[in-house]
Amino acid sequence: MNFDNTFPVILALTPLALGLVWKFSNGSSTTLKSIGLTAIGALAGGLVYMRSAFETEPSILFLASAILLSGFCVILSQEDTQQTSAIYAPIMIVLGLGLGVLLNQAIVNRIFLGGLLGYIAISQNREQQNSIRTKIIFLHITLAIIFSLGSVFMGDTLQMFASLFLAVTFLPLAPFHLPFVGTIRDAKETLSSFWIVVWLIIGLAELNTLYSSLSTQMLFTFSLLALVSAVYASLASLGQKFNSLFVASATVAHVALVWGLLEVFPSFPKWGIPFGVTLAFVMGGISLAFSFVRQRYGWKTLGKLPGLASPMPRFGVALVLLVSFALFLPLFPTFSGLMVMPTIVIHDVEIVLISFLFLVVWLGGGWYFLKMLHQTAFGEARSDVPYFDLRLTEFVAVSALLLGAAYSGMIY
Amino acid sequence: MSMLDDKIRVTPSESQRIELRSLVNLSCEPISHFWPMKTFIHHNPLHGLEHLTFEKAIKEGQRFLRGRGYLSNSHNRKYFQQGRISEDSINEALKDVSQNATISIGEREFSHLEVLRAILIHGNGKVATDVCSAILQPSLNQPEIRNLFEKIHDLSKKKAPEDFLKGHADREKKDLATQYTLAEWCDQTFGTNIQDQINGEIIKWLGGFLDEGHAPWGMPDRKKTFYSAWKELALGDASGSILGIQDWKNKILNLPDRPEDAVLESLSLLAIPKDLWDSYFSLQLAQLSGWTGFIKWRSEQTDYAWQNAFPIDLIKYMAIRLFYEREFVMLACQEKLAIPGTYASINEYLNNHPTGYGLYKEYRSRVLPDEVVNYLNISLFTQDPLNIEDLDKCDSRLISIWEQTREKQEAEGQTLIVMHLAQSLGVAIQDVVKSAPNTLSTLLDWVEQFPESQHGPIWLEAFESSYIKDFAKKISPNLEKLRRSDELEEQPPESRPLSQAIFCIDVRSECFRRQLEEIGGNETFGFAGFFGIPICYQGFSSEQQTDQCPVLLKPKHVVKEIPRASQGKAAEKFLEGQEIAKTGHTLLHDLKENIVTPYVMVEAIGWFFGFKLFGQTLQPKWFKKAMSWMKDILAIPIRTTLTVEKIQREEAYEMVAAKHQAAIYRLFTEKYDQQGATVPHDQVERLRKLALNQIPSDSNENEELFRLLKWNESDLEQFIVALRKDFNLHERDLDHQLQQITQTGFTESEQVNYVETALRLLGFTKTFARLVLLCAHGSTSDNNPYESALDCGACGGNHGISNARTLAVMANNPQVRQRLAERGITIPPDTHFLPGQHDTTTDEVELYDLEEVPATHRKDLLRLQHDLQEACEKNSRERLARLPDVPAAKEIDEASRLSKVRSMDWSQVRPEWGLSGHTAFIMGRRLLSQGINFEGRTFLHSYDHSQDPDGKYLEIIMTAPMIVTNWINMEHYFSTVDPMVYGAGSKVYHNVVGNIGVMYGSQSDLCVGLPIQTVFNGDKPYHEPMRLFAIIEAPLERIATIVERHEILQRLTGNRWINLVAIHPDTKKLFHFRLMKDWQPIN
Repeated sequence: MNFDNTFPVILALTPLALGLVWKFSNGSSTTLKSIGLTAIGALAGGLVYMRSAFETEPSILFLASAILLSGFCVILSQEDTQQTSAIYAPIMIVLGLGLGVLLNQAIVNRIFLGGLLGYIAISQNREQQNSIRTKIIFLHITLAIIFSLGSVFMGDTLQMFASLFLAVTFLPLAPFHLPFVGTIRDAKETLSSFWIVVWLIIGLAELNTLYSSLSTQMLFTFSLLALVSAVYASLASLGQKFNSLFVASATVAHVALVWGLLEVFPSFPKWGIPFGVTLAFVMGGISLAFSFVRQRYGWKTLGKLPGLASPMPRFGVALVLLVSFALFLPLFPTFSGLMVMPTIVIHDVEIVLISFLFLVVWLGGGWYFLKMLHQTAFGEARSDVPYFDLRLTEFVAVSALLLGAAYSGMIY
Repeated sequence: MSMLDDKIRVTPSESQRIELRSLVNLSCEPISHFWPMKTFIHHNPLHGLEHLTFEKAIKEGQRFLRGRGYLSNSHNRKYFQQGRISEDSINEALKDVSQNATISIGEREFSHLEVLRAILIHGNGKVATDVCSAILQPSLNQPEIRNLFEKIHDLSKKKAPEDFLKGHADREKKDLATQYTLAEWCDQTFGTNIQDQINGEIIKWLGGFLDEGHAPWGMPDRKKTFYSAWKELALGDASGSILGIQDWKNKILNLPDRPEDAVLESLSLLAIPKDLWDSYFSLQLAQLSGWTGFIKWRSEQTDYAWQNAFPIDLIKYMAIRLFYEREFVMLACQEKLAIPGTYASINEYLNNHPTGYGLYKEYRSRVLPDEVVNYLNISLFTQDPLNIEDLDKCDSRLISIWEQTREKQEAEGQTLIVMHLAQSLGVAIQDVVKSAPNTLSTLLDWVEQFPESQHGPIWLEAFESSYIKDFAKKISPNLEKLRRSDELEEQPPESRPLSQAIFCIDVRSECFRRQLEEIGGNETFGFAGFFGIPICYQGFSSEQQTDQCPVLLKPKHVVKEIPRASQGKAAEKFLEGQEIAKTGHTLLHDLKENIVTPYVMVEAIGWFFGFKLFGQTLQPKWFKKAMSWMKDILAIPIRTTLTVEKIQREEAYEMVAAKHQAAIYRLFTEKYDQQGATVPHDQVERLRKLALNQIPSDSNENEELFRLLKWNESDLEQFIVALRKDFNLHERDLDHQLQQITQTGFTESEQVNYVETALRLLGFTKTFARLVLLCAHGSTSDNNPYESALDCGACGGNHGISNARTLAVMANNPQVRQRLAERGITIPPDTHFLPGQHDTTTDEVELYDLEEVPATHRKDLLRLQHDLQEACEKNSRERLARLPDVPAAKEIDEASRLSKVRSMDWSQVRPEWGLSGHTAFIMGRRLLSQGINFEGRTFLHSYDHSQDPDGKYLEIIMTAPMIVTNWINMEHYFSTVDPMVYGAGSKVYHNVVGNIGVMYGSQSDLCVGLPIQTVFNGDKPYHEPMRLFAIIEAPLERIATIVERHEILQRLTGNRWINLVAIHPDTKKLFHFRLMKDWQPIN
């Protein structure tokens, strides 16, 4: 193996190793936080090196940077706690596995992907819920692991279907969204935010390698599926009581846009990846902001703690900005897609379908985001709760994700 | 809901209707009157509950109006941190609630009072059960906290378990129809919005019906009364059907014709037990307390033109409200629970399904712990109708898990309380853990017995106590001066001041008086702004009369403003100009409001309004000047006087007769040209008497007329008919005109009495200066529906200049002075009373009737004008420093400029602070308050107890101005403690409705009270809410005797709506009136 191939593996293994060590040791919170942040800084340097030395594809580096930024924000925002292993170790493990998937190719990529899926399955298993839904999730993850590891040995067609299965799993479309929703639901504290970003980034990377081989018929089928998924997820968002499920459903609804627009706009890396990253950052930001409230008050149910903007102005500002951004999310892929679209004849059916999808996601999103904002930031705050606003590091973490979203959506 | 069974519909008897009517009116007690905005009256929003103690009334207000009665604890704690509330005062206030008990923690011992004080100052640390686990979690890593938690958990396990689930049903059975209406219960239980739906419909109909000329198109059928008009129009209104009421039209058609019958029908359908009717009516009326307050006020006005034209009362309102409620409640209960929407069926449901209902309530309030939610079938809660049987059968294991979780949450909450309390008391947690178990339970009991909701009255007591002690300290130098002055056996000869000025008692006059006095040579007095003269005033060219007196009084005298004799031609021109302006205004209004013309008008002259928009916004001062200039061109201001002198009946008769004769000559000249003008006067008089039926029509005596005008009998008859018809020449009109004329002005005796009373009330009976200024006040602001709230409250929310001018005319009358001298008040001949008006927004004082000032007083006048100008500038500077959004004025004239701009700024939500910030009303000699900067927070009424041995004048002050200041105080108090319920919320969202009041946004209750901008500075209260301190310098027995004589004073003082404080005339010590003849010294 030459250095070109081993360097990305080293980059991925570094946080993974740190995570595994932390899992079984209990260092002080400040130490782990400092080491974690330094490690991320070093990984960022590694990415810069990769770009200059190996001429790695920019879109891959962009996706890896997104994961790093998200990891950085999640670690930065951690408050001092006694349970360091439960907090920092999973972040580093997921970070390592995620980077491994993104930066490596072929068999190494699939091994890291299998590892990530295995870690998801273990996390799910820890919740010990014995519902049909959980069983379906396990089945789904098992299939994904098999496809992931087996695809290396499959023929082109089978490999494409295996990749497609993995893509719809990580860039979740109903009915393949259950593992994503389950993971976000069960993630501890701020990890849900990181999971959203990692999950979508891997999905985007998977689709990026795959989209050129998808036929027109398949794209049309995915458009239809995206529409169904958008309607389902929008309705699910409206009916959600729990904040983590709300974010998960809203993410699924918006992801449908990526799949739906794939048929109309060419050059997926130019519009799809920036939009996907923007979406990941916005949803990750909302999830992170929610997790801060959850840490303080054990808050899981929307509407239980209304009017937070008044006693927690930093949280209010962050949430209002994130939701304002989220309300305009459907515009980003549409405009950037239009910019790269050649003036070719498009079938009316597609236009109607896409317009409908766009409206469903936009209007639905407008509705449920505003409803959530009203239930959370506005209204009369409860007087029987002692409020503590976001700490500066927490506010910086959310703001960094927001800035990342703005960069990805508007500049990149 | 099905049609009403014949069984239910039994026509009630007349006595039942009367009983119901009086019950509804009685139930409106918690709702105070709402005066229309044009005569804004400061009033106590709990006026109807003044027979209760302050604390009880606040509880009732909370029950019915959902209003908070005390300032929030966080604001009070800030006052404590700022030193506005002292620890001593807190100890004093806690005395009544603390017990003689102690607990030992570690080596320290704490009394009950100390613990209560710590809770009050630092809060009790109580946290909602659903969040306490997360809040406690990080601290549980510390062993002492974990031990504490375990100890508390053990304690709670020993207690008898409460039945949390069944508690919901038990509480609601008790509270239904006594604490909330059936509609409110549905909203709370199912998350419906029935209340909003009912209120929305009611506001829609009330807004249309009660409109007083604001709407270009009036609501039809209003003459038929509110209930009948609604019945008629609701038939064509689809909103009932849209909201889900089935068979809407038939239901409306089947409603009884009498509103009383409709109320009884609805009560019967809702099955409200008769013993709950009164509280149920109160709950219903309190839903839109602003609108019902206005209906209450309007229905009591017997001579109110709008009420006479379009009658409305509470029973009509109730009939409509209950109709909507019964329909919506029926719909909700059928849909959600599959039961009829009646009191009885809801009660039965709660009785039969306490467990299932408890689970449902816990689910709806989202406090079901995750442990339970994960094992429950959530769809059970979301089914319509609710599958209560399945919920009832809920697994007992789950219930047990739920109860254990609840128990743990309670222990966590109590741990947090103890942690917080330990910190407040400065003790270590280890010591608390080591303390005996009963110490911990005692501590927790003390916290439980003193919840945050009970802190309000304690804070208020402490705040008031701190204030009055500070006040006593502040005035002590003046008390000393007063004592020295009183102890002098021989008073030094009094010298004549350069000028004297009588101002309103208003808090805004306090600063101005101080500034004017500090210039030197000027003496000031404080008196109710209507100067003790209740008049009905009609300005020149105005068609409306205003009552210039407090609402407690009804004016008997009419005073009109008329042009001076020399202004004949100018007056004509003025009227012509006014007519043109009025026509233009009406035309513009019609064009704007018409359904078609605005489309054209916007194109044609819309740009014209741009001048106004940009002028008012960018250069308000120039724009105002330009508008005044244009107005002056149209109608040049003229000099006027007032009709103060009474016209005797004979003279009035002559005046009317002359008017009638002029009318007859006019008709003659219209019909017969010059020939008509030659008819002799005696024949015209004869015709007048014939028209008035004062003489019989005798053909013999009419011969002269027949000859002159070549008339026959029928010509005469036609002429008289024309006189009666076209010129109102008939008996009724004669009586009306005579009454109007004779009501105008005052007899000489009345004038003497009014002047004497005014001067004696002030203790101003000697040493008159050459110029005495009677200074009324008013305000100037733009785009401000609350403008009248800034004007003189004693003048019914109007400018007070007419009263000042009236008193000046009386006091300058030589005959009046002669008779006053006979009564012991000698006003020197060179003393001239001069009326003026202080603009409280700009601080300018405008002097009136200057032509009456003798030439010999020119220099005095110039000096006074100069002093007033200086006082104005200084006062502006002082006042502006208190406003939050004004840059500090470096130059003194800069302050005047800024305050003028403020008065013209149409975007200004706070032109001035008005009466906000007031705390005390001082009734005593000026020496008591002279030179002290009260920062515009005290009402000042001049009163000299030594000149009022029998307390006659003090009685007037205590029963009129003191009551009014109490109303003002209560309005400010409640608007501050709950700006949304008792106040009017933010001005920014206000919309004027029907010319009667303002609504919040497009549809809301009528906003009662004061806007938040009037009483708050940002998020801090500018007005410090405390009950008014009425401080009287007079013998204690005299005050007590007056209180004893008046029930209203007994109510206000005994129930603690006002703090009565006396300054003992001999010892100069302050005493707080507690109970009848129980005076508590203020140290």
